Amino acid sequence: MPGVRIALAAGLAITAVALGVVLATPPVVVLATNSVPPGTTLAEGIRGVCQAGERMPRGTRSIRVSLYAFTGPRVTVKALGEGRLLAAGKIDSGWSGASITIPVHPAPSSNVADVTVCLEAQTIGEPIVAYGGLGPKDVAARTLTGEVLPGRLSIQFIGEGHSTWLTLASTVARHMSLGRAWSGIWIVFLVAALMLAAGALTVRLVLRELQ
Amino acid sequence: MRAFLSRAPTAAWICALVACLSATCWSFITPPFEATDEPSHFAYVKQLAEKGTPPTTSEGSLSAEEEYALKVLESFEIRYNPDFKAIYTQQQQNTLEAELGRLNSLDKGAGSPSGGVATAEPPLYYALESIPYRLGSSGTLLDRLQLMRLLSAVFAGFTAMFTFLFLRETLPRERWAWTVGALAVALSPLATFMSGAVSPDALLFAVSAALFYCIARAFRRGLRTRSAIALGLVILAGLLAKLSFIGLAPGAFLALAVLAVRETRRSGRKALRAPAIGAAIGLLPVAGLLVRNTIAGKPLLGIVGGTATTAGRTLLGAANYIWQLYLPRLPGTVSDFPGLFPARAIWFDGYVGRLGWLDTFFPGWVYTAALIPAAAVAALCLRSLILRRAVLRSHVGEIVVYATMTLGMMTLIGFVSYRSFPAQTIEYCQTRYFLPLLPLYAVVVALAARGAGKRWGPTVGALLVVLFLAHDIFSQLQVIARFYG
Repeated sequence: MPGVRIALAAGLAITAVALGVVLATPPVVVLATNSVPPGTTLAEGIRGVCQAGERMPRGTRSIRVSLYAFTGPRVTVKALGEGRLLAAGKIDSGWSGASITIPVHPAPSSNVADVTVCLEAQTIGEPIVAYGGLGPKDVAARTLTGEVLPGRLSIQFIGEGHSTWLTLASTVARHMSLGRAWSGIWIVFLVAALMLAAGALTVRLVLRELQ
Repeated sequence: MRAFLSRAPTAAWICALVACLSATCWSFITPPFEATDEPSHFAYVKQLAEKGTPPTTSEGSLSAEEEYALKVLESFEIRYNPDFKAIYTQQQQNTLEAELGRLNSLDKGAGSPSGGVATAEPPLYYALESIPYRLGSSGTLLDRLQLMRLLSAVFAGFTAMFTFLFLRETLPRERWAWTVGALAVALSPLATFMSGAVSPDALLFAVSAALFYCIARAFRRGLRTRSAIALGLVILAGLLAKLSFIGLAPGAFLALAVLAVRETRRSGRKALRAPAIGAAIGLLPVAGLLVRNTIAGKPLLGIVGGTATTAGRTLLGAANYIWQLYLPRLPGTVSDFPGLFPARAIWFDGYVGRLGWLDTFFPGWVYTAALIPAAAVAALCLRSLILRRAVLRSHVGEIVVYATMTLGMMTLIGFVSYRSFPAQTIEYCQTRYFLPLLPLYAVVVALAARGAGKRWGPTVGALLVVLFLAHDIFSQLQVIARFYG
């Protein structure tokens, strides 16, 4: 059946193109951080928090904040500075983890100093835990009701890096060969070979059984 | 068993091999202990292999060598924190290997005082994993972990194989659709990721797929003594593999009951013997548990009974919670998940891609885009069912059994999650808990391909397979980017 061959060829070609596009794009990187280690629990069960004195770099696409929930509610973020709303974004309910990365729009075209980052849970749900580092009251984060937290949250501004995944491939491969049993760069080639074999077997089987 | 394996078609073997290869890739890609609950499962195996007994407590620390590995690999920092990557330098690697080598000789035979969250689990998977653990006993902890992961990857092969055979029984006419459904399972990133880790889920998926196959076979070919023993043994293995198999058990016993009624109508009361044997074998672990707990003076059903009684504290509340966990809220009921539709945000998105410790995601648009093929598959499957509704009517008993197994899993997960609600919205918010139902997912995919009609069916099937392959590849790349990028 020629339809199967054409479908396979088209599907694999689209996959290859998508792979190429991914490899040609730069990974997201941390453009700036407030260098606060997220080692201390600042508050539990907060519904919103604002933190002033941040520096938002040019090209920020997401803001990552040290908030924890197992099944988090919808959260909005606003970055305020120079007397206006610089960027805003939201993440839908269902996120999980010890940090929350929220895409924001628009990406600022220049670095902005003294930015206030405000986060607010838009739905009542699981209580959120805020992590950060202890610090003086005058620079500490505040809840939306004005309550001063014992320190600052860890905040990172995320954007695109300069190198593409393709140029970083050898670094990633070297990294992947460490921290495991039977370490060595051959692991990377083994994984690639195994997945190629799985792909080849799949294609062969489809051609045999579906034609 | 040998006769069964030799009768399996070549296509089933290839599907099994594809699943094994994919799970093996995952076993190398995922950094040590960065799969959900892997540290606890490793600790259980260590205790069982070195001391011959399961761990008795979930409290306290793990073994010295595992604690050291978790610390040096920065496992706790990496978990839930995308900023943290796996260890970076050759120097760190050398230190890790040297110290783990030293600790292996010091720690050998000490077992693991705590089994963490795995403590309450039954021992079958861990007993099987003791074999690669012992084979790698001269190596470091990381060597043993990798060998154990490779055994899990073999279970992925069995899952795909039994899924193929299940499809052969349930959809006997369209041979090509068996391959499409089985490859959907063999290339499922979530299933192969879990099967590439040390986790009893790997065995649970395989045993569950075998259960579906045995039931389908019995409905087609009748329940004889040998097939009843096989079915009973599979239930026994499931109950000894992981506690959550309990969700499938009511459906499995219902299958035996339905088959018993059917066989009695045909051959009289003597036909009850086979289902009775199957049920007796399957109930052995329950009987064993009752005896053990009676002797030890513990609650009769142990942790399972605790789950049922705690969850039963407000039955209406539990029912409302479980309903909303899967379906849109009914008018006039309290919303347990304001702003959250778990069917989409937890279960669907979880299947598309929530890997590692649920901390490795795709960009948000991927989950929205995934709705398109999912909706197409659902629509085609529905079309296929409508076109063949006459055939469905003749299989009502069997369909009720599969529905009971599905509802059993949904209810179990709902009840267990309800225990910690509202402190945690959904404690068991992991799609992997539904992967014992993979054979039914395979049927949906196969029906969808068939729903495209005789002319276009295989073409749609081929497109779906490429989609699954791409999903697996990009999921692996996402994990590589998360931990090593």
